[in-house]
Amino acid sequence: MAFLLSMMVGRADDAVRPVSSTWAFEVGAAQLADTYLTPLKYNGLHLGIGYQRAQAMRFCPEKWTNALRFRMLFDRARNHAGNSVMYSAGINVGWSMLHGWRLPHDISLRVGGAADADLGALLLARNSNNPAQARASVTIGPEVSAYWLRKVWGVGLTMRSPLIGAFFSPDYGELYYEISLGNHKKLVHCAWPGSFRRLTADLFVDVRPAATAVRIGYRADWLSFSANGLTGRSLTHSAVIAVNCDFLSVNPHKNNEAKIITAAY
Amino acid sequence: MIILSACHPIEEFDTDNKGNFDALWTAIDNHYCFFEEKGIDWNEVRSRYEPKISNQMTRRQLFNVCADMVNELRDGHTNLSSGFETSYYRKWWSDYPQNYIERLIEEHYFGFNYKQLASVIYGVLPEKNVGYIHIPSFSTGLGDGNIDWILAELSPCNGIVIDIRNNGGGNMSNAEGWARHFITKKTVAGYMIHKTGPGHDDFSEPFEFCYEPVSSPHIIWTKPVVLLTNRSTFSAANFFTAVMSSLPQVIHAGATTGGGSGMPVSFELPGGWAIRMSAVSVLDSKRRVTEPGIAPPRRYEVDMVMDDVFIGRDTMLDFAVNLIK
Repeated sequence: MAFLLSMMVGRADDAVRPVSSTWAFEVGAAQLADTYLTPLKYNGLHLGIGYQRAQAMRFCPEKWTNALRFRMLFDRARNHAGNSVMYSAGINVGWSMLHGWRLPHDISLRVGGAADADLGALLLARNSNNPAQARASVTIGPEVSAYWLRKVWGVGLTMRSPLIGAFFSPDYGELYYEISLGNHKKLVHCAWPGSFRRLTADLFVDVRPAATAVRIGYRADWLSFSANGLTGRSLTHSAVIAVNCDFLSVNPHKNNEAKIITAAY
Repeated sequence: MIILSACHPIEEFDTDNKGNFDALWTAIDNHYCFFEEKGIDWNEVRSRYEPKISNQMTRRQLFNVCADMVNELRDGHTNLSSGFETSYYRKWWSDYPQNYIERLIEEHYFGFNYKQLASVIYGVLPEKNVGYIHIPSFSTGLGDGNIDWILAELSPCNGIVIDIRNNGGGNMSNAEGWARHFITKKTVAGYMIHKTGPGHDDFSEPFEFCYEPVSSPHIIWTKPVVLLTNRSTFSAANFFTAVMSSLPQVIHAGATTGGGSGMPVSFELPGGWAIRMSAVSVLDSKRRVTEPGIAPPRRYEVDMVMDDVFIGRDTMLDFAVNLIK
C-alpha cells in the first residue's frame, strides 16, 4: 500500500497541473413555474454568472480531473397576461470528478460524477400569504464531457444530470408561516428521476490563440420536480460567453521539463 | 417538445372566458378549506354558473358571473381581482349592526384628549379608573417596548378595555405581539390545518402552536381585561379574540366577531386575474373552527343602543367598563 502511494505521489510530482479557471456570463430566456405560487407559467429573462476551477488530480493526473463550480442565477419573468412579474434568484455550488480518455482525432472524453447543491427562491409579490417559494436541493449524478481540440480552437460538450439526492418542498397548501411556527413535517424529499429531473448541458466553442481561451456557447439548464402535489419548473436557454485561463503555480523544485496536464481539454 | 415531455405535468387552461372560468373553479376546488364547514357543494355551484359562461361575454360580464360564484363561498377572505374591480363578499358584516362609532369615544369620553401611538388610541377613561386601548388594525404592529409604554401609562387602573371593534385584521404575528403581554406562561394559541392535496378531505393533522409571554423586563398585564368586539372584528383580530378570551383575566364582551379564520392564499387565472381564498384553517385552542365568528358568553353580549349614542354614550363601552368596576 505504501509502495503504491509512493508511486502515485511520484507520478504527481512529475506532472505540472495548471488550474483551469473559467469565468462565465450567461444571458437567455427562462420559463418558470411553481404551482405553490401560481398555476401559470412565466417567461422572461435569465441572467447568470459563474466560475469554474478545474484541475487534473494529483494522484493520477492524466486520467482524473476534478472541477469546482459556482453559479449565481437570476430570472425575471412575466405571466401570459403581462400583469405580474416573478423573480427568481439562486446559487449553485457543484463539484465533479471525471475519468478521462484520449480518443483518436484529438478528442478527449471524460466521464464521472457530479455533486450539486442549489439554494434559491422565487418571489411573486402579488400573492397574499404565499408570495415566495424556496428552492433547495443536494444531488449527485453522472457527468459526461467531450472535447475536440484543434490548433487554435476547440469544441466541447458537457452534460450533467442528478440521479439521487434530496430537495425541499412545503406541503401542498402549507404556509411558510406554519413552517416558521415549527411544523417541519414532509419538507425534505428524496430526489430521484421520478421526482427531480434536471439536465445541465453546455455546448461551446473555444478560441484559444494562447493559454487563454475565449469561450462562446449555449447552455441549457432544465429543472422539473414534483412533491406533495406541487410541481416546479425552471427551464433556461442561455448564450454563454466565458474566458478560460490556465494558471501555473511557480515551483522551483519542479522539473522544468515536467509534462503539463491541463483539465481544460 | 422533448424537454416539456420530460417535465412533470402542470394543468393548463385556455385563455378564453371558459378557460378562465375553469381555472377559477379548479383553483377554489383544489385549495379552499371550508367546503365542509359551510355545507357547500362546489360541483353543484359549477353546474349553476358554467352555463352562464360563453366566449362572447365581455370581460366585465365574465367578472360579474365569476364574482357571484366566488361569493357562494360566503367568505370575507375570498376575492376575485381584475384590472377593473375586486369582488368582496360583504354580508358577513353588512347584515349586522355596526356597533361602533369612533368619534363617539374620542369626543364624548376623552374630549379628544386621548393618547395615540401609531394607530393605537389609549388613555384612562375619566372618573372611571379604567384604561382604554383601541387597536384599529393588526396590519402594522407595535414593538414590545411600545406596548410597555401603553400598559405602563394605564398601570394605575383597575383594569383595561381593549377595544378591537372594526379591527379588520392584518398580520397574525402583530396580534401575537399584543397577546404576549397578557399571558404569564407558554400558552396554546391554536391549531393550523392545511391542505395536503386537491381533495376536499385532504387536510393535515392539526398543528399546535403556542405563544410565549414577553420576556422580563417587559410588562405583562394580569389585571382584569374586557375585550370588546363587533361584527367587523375579523381575521387576525378574530384570532386575537380566540386567544385572549381563553385567558383567565379576560372577559370577551360586545357582539359576535366577523370570523375569517382561514388564512388566505392567492392564485392566478390565465387572463391575469387573481383569486384570493381561505386555504389554511386556524382553529382556536380548543380546536374549534372560528370561521363563523366568536360569540361572547351570552351574559356579556351587548349591542349599541342608538338612544345612548344621541346622548354621547357608547352602550358597549359603558357595559365593558362596568364589568371592570
